[in-house]
Amino acid sequence: MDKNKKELLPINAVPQGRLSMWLLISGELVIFGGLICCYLLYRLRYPIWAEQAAHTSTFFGALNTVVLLSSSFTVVKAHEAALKKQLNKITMWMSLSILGGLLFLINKSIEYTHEIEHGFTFSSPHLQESGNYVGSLFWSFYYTMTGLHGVHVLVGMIIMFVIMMQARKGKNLHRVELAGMYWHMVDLIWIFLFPLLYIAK
Amino acid sequence: MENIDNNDNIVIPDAEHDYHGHPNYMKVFVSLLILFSISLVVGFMFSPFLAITLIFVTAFWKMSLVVKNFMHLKYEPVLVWIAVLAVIFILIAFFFGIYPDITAVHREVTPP
Repeated sequence: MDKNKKELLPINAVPQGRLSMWLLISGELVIFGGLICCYLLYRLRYPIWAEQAAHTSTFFGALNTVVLLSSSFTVVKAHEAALKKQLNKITMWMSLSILGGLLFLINKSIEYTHEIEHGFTFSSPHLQESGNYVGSLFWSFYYTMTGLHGVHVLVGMIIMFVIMMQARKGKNLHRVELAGMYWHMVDLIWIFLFPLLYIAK
Repeated sequence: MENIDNNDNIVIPDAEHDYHGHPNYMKVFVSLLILFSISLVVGFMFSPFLAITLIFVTAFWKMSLVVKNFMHLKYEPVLVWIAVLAVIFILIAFFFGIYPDITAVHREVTPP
């Protein structure tokens, strides 16, 4: 069988773990997709949101995009190493992926600190006091979407750590790919959050 | 396909017996970085409408590269594709379902 060609495989050809991950990912995408749809509609309704979006840091957003894309690459290399049962390489690539997640969260914390210092919080009282309730709504969306995404990054790091500890002993190597799928989903969500919140100003 | 066991006794697939193929990951990663650079540059260079269009075209392109190659969707059976495409259909329906509620209602946002 040429594995690089798409073939009409039966559904039971997919291992249960992978199939479950696809279902989990589909559910997660509905949650984030719903938020993104609402954000897009409000953005169309209130073009004034562009003024608020101008306060987000494109530098940190871009840096985090590179970090997540790179960690997606390292986790797929971990999967490749798992297939060849190269335990040391699995540990190395997964550690790099976890490090990527940690870097992402550190950048996000710095960014949040900067924004909160300037009064842009979940409810942004200074905007509400000046009657800019629409502007305040932007920050509610911003913190909800990036916060929920950040939680997923943290969960992904914990999952990868647990699986890495098992894999370095040669146990449950098939789970490396499953952890990778979850991590790619986290990357996928960021691919859309980045242009929405950081570039389209 | 006989090496894949769907029951409790999971057989770890190795390089020879993995049920899906493997693209050139480095090539995919470099393509993602190039697309990311394009989306950054167009944000500053073109008119807002053109920029936003190009930014989202590159975002969808990146999504396609990650899902098809890193998540190996291109090697999955059609039923998995249907599960993923159903999400997109649900989101499109959701978008147009709430469209009038948000964009077509003219009211001022007032304090609660």
